[in-house]
Amino acid sequence: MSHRPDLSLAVRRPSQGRDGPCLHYGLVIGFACLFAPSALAQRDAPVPDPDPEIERKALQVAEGFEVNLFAADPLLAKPIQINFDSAGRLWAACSESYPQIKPGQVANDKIIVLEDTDGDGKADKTTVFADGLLIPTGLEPGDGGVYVGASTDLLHLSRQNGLTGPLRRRVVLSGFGTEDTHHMIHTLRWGSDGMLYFNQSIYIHSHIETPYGPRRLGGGGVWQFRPETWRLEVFARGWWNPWGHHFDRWGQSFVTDGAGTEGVNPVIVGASYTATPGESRVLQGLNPGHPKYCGCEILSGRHLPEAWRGNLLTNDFRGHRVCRFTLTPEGSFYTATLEADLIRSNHPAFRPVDVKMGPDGAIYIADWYNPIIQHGEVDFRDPRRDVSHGRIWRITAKGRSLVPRPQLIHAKTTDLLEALKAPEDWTRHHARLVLKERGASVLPELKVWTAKQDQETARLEALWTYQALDVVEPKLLTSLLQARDYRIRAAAVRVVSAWHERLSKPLEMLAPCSADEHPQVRLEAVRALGRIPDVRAAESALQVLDKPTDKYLEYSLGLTLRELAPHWLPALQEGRFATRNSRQLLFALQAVDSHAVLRPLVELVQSGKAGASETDMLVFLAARGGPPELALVFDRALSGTGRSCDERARLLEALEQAARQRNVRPSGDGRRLLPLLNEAHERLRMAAARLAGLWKLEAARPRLVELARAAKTSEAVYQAAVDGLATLGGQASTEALEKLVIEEDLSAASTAGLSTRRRLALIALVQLDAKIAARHASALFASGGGQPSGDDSTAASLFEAFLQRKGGAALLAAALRGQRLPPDIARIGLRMLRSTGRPDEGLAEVLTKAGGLTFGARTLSPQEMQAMIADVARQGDPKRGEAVFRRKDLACLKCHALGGAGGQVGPDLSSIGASAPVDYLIDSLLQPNKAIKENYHALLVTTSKGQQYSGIKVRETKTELVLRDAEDREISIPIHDIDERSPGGSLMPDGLTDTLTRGELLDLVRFLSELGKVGPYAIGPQGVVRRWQALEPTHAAWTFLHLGGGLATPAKDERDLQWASVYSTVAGILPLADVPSFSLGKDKHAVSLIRCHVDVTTAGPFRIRLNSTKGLKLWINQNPTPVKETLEANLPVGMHTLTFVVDRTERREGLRCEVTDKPGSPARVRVVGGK
Amino acid sequence: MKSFWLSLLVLVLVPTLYAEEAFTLHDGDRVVLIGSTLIEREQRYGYWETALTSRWPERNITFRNLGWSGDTVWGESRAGFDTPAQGYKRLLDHTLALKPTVLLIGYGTNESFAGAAGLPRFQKQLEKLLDDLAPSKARVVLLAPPLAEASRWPAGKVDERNRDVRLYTDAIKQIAERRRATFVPEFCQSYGPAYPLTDNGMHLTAFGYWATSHNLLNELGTATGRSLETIELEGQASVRVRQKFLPGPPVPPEADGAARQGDCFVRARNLKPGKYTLLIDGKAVYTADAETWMKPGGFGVLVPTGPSLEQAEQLRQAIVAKNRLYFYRWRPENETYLFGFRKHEQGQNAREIPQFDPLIAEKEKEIAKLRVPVPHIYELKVEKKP
Repeated sequence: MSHRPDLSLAVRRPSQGRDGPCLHYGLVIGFACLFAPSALAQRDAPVPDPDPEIERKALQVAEGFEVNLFAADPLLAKPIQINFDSAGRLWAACSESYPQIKPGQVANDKIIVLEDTDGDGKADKTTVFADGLLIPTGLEPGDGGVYVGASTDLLHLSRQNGLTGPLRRRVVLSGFGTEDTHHMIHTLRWGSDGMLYFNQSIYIHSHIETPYGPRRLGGGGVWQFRPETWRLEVFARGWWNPWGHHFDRWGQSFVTDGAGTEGVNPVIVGASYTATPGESRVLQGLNPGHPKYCGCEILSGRHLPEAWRGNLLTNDFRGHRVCRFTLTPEGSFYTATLEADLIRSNHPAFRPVDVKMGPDGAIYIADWYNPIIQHGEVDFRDPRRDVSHGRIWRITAKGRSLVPRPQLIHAKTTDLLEALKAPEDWTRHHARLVLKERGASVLPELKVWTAKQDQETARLEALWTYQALDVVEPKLLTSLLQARDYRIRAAAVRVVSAWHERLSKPLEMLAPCSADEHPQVRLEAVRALGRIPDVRAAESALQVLDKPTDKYLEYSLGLTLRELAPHWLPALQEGRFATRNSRQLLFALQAVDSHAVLRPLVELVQSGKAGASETDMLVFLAARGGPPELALVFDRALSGTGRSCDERARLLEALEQAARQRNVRPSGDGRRLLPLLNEAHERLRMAAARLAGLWKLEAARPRLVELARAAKTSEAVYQAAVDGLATLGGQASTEALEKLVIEEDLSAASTAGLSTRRRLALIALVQLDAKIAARHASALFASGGGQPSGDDSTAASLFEAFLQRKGGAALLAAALRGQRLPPDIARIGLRMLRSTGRPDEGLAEVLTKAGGLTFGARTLSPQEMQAMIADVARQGDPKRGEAVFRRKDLACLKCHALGGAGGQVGPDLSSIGASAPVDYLIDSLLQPNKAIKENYHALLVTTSKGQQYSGIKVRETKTELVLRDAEDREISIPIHDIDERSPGGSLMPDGLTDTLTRGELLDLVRFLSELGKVGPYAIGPQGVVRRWQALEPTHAAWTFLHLGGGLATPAKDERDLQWASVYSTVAGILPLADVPSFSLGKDKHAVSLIRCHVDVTTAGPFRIRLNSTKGLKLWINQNPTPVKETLEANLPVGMHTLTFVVDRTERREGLRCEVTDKPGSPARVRVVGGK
Repeated sequence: MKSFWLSLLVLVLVPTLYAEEAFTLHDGDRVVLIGSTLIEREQRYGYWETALTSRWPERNITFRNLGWSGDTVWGESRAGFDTPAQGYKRLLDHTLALKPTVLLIGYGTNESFAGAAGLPRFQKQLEKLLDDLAPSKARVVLLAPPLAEASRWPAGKVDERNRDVRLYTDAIKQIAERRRATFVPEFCQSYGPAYPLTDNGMHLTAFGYWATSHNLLNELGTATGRSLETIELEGQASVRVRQKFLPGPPVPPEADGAARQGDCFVRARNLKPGKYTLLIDGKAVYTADAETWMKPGGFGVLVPTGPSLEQAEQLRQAIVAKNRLYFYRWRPENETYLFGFRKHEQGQNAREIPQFDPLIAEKEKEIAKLRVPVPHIYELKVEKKP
């Protein structure tokens, strides 16, 4: 059948029920009976029994709550977003054609309305409001119908008589991107201000024509739209998948992200958050390391226990959980603390994707019901994709009465106004929406009612009602700017911002707010000022620097200053910009990306009035300036007066950055640098050596060679000297470097130090003449060199040097052809090669042969895959698998984090088992390139200088591209150097599992498959220390411990000490076997030193809980602290180190350390994770 | 609102006085539409394409709509993940790959927000676009951007907005004249619609496209003879008539009866007094008394329904369906996975996309059949008195 156009919707009536599902039911059940015993026909994800009662029993609900089925298939299938209308009906956007329309398929996705007419908590009436849609990803009832986000369009659908009558379909806005169907516009919400908000995700490029000019948004963000005026603006930018957005009762908004791993994000108006394309200045969420979330609702109302009101709910749809956070204001921002889950489950198809409060005060959850969660990892047409089921669950508090359902639609206006005082957000919100739809007719009554209200909260509701009606009410607004409650003042400031064009003196209204006693009001004021095109707005905003600031206030101020730059920059140049001190001015200048700031800054430095911030200003000038500004920086770096050597080195390093990233050098004679090559201060000398190369100072070559050859030169200076030679270039440099390689070779390569020099010289040589370098490298590798004392890094860095050189891999392959290599060297080479995600130019074959290895990506036949899945279930042991996962040679944690602890190169694996089928896990291990997680694709970059890089894109701005490479390093590549970029594969090397036995592989897969499922492998609460640092057994450490004797000051001087990351198990315990120990004293007393970091954002007492005190000593920062199983600490704001000395003879059991709140204390403490 | 459909009708029926040379589409023409939201949304409604298609029922003319919301002569909306320059290249590549013989170009709306200051840039780029598309050797039709609709304009002073739109319109006109391209003057607001064509002062609604499809033909000078036919009946004798053209499709319901589209006109002679029902192919469609049938005003009794009108709607639906299939083909969802930087993940699904081609071809066969009027039997039958 041919495709039916949308227009025919107009003549379709809603149909009741459908004929398909019953048949399908039968088929599914029959299928399960046939295959259940082996559970193999669908690999590990057998279509679960779709009986809702089976699913309900698998939902573990928080103590004191219960769950009932509100609605289920066949009434609805695949709900994506739900929202209540003001009559209390629940609307659901449902898509069966996600993820992609099939050729010949007729898109027939639906908008469903569910009603609970008898109030028994179950839907008893279903209406198909509209069908024939293509992937509606969001909806919000309103304006006599429903707004629907569907592919390229924001539609408004309505029917003459509410739910019946002919359907009218209006395209409200069009031009939204569709490049990824789970990124298309979604999360529709009415704001407190009566505007429609909706979001889009990262891979979407939207181009919308509006009567105010085109609006464009490439990337994620929140749109703000007023249907009456057709005004569309971007409210905030960023995130990967901002699939949740809600306003609290003060009008502050909160966003959750379905791919970023930062939990809850409070929204600053106009700000950019993680993953905003082209933006380096971004805000982060409050909970780094968290799983992906979908949906967002802030709880309120009498039905729920008091402790739950104001909490935020969101869904970990991968982990089958409904999660709860408490939100606490902190400074100008918030903290969000994860509490016990509302729901957790092991049902493989329970996929909570949306959560809403209902008119009865209960919580409603949309369950997308699918064993497969999205379409990046799993084929669009995977038969396990469910297209016919879906549920709405209703959660109520046991023994608490429900809220009487408010009757708003036909209520008298005065009753609606009274409803603005209801304790339930739901009621106030919908009363306001009904008032808004009644339009100007309610204004007289609103005025009378407002005059009678003396509660600030009621007056705020009145203000929002005026705003929803788009009627300016300056008197009410002015009075609320003086409210006692800072949250109301902050909300009022936001209204000033919305109305500023229609207020007579917005600047005068806002100026006192930017000096408000509460930081949140100051923050709102700073953002509101950004909208007022006037130099005085910038001056007002800068006032916030007179009071204590935090990073959110500073971010907001920077943003405001950038927005206002067209007004204050010219004023500054004309001498009309009134900043009160150099700190304000420096802040303003640093905020903008404009050359116009250079001259005032130079003048400030030259005037000598810059004071303590002069070096900062010079570094800033070096980062932005042209040759004349750089000359000023160079002058100041040369003159030793009034500046420490470290500060001078900092200036030279800033010049080095300018040369590397922007290809700019100071005007004037660069040779004035030469004397610095003789400086005693190492950092200064090193910076000079590198700069000499970058500035092509031929006259420096003899001194660079001399520096390299001097026996007493430290390794660091040696490296700077050979780097300088390499960048200086030329035949003479090539010869000098080759000579260095040969000399180092001759002078007994047996000691590690010399071998390091040889490697450094060789790496430098690769940049100049990779062919000659390849010959030497080949000899070095063949002799087993490059791999001293079991450390891979020497050989690895050498391989890396070749791989980063255009054509380097081929040259190395040519030099190695026919050689024999120690197998481990060959392995290292292959690992490095595969982790670049590039074609290998024959090197893989040469290395495999030279090392006598048999390697490669493995593919399994369907039969083999089935057998392996069966064996994973039968033989795989998650406990043993965890040990495999933690093995040093596999280095899993180098790239992947668990609970936020570990590398950031690959995805956090905390809930991988709950989201990925076993066949996907196996494929990912055996063929990392087969299916790469969203956001983890390598980008291959070749520069004009012949360098090659590969990594995950971290961010890109106008000047630099930042990649994260397989070693978890951030690499910054100047944009102007980029010659070519192309998409690459996974950074996870093929053949990682080659060294595993089949049994080990089964264990590993089993472990991964358990991660995030309810049970021992679910990542526990936030406060557990998961990333530790252990003191490495270096010579320096040994000396330090010997001299330290009593270990009185373990962290005092750690300059030479090396700490390596070690990670707790999923259960939160650090096994001591993974920690190096030192034997001290005559009795060879074995000890280990381990430490962790906590970040205190609000000071106050908190608790540290240990699993046992046996054999432990503890220092908090420099202070010895008596060890107790639960001890209390009270630390100032900032980072703090907890160092444990473990007596290994006394303590055998692992260490678990958890930071918890002390009831009643304001303290906010976060355990630091990461790599 | 009766006066409105009458006024509209007049515009349809009176051969145009404005266009000097009639614009013609030839057999085998491939018309490619490029532009911004105005062009993009046309494909969802299909009224313009239906009007152009049924204007030459005997000719095989195919249409490809490459409009893109928010687009400009720089191809800004087409950049995706790439630079704007690549967006422009994509605009050229997509257009040229379709081997157009006629280009219908609707730009200027978004560009005009830059006002007088932006005009030189726009002129230069439009010239460049036309130069870059010249290798196609297609005949070029340049549409004036629609004026803002005063009764619906939400964003400040409509006169100021229209001053800018006219500025750009003049520039487009000059370029068209210089290049001997066909210029189509504003044909939305300048026809003084009695019922709003937009709901935001800017974008045509379904009704807007319906109403302006007549205007478009008119401005192209091709409305000649494209009127509803008057069927002449003699007494109660039946006649077999093949209309020369299909009527326009029915008015979208949102117009609330403000305009009407009929199947044909009928005029009769030699009827005895009484009530007569018009039967088309034996099916009763309209009843009136003899007086009305014999002495109607204008061109005859406007017959409100009938098989030709139904066929016109079927044709439009087929065109909309074809456009939708083609949209899935050239701008599929999930491009990131199918052809973009995530194709190593789900690129295997890209094989489905060319499977739309035969479906599009099938739809075009249907269109070719539907655009040709078929003969119907018309007769008046006297109503028996009860």
